[in-house]
Amino acid sequence: MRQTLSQNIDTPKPNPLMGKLPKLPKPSIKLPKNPKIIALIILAITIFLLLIANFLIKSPPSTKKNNQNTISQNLPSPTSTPNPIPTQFVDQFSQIEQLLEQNITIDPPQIDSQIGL
Amino acid sequence: MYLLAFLLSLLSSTVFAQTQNPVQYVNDHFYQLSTYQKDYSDYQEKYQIHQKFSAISTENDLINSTKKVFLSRNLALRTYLTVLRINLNSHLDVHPQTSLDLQTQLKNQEKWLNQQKQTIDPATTLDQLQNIGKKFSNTYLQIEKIINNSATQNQINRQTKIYQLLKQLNSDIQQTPTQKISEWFTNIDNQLEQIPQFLQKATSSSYYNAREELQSNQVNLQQVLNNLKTVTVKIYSP
Repeated sequence: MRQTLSQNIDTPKPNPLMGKLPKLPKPSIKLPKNPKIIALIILAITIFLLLIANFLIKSPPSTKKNNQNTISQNLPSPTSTPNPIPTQFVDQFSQIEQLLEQNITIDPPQIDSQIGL
Repeated sequence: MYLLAFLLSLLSSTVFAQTQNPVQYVNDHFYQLSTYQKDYSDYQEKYQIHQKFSAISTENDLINSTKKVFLSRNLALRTYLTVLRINLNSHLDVHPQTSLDLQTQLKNQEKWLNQQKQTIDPATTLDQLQNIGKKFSNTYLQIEKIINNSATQNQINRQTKIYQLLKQLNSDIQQTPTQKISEWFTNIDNQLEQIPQFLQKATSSSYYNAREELQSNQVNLQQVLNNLKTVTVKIYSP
């Protein structure tokens, strides 16, 4: 039997069940005209963006903290480092340092001694 | 339980009120000083208004404002004298006689300033207030001298104390058995020897000159301490 070329060509047949779809009305987004509402929306968006930014900024240190904690387990604590000043002189040195730090002078009050004259 | 805690806190607050710490005296002074500054600007305003209008009402306003500023000026000054007197307690052992003399002088001026309230309150005319003002102006010259002497003496006492402690520490460190260190201390000894000269200079100078002397001496004392630290660490390092 001889085949005709047109035999394998799909001919578009319209689905009888599907008629022409009714065109849906396009949803028209009406921007609120009230300036107060616009301002409120802008404010809400800004707050939302700030919240996201805040979350992004806060999140990295927490990972760093975890890293530090894990590293610090392998390191000696800072208190274990020896004080270079021999123990018998530590008190004397700290007493002098404290006295040197007490270098606070309160200037005499600036008052007008000629009031009422 | 809460009642007990409340009673205890009340009790402790009354105990602390009796023994005021030096910082509280300083805070008290600054509070009184700010009150004086407010009253003073109010006085200036009232004075200018009275100069313009010379009315009975403006005169009354000026009288009230002058009385108010007199009282707050006295309080600001008195609290400052108290701060100086309390501060002199810190190193009373260094120059006891000079410090005690100054404390007596300060106490007398504090008393005088307190008594002024009795003369300010009953004043009703600008002439009466002028007399009070003149009396204050004359006494203030004396108070200013005592203030300058006390403030300088307080710093001298502190620095002398530091000098004494440094000297003691220096000799304690030199007691170590190693003899090789003697040359390291030559510089420190020289620096220490200069300090009493600076202190002497400050004693005989006016307030602002003394302040400069004492400030440069503070640097010298800090330097001696740093040098002593370095030497000590070198001696005792393994």
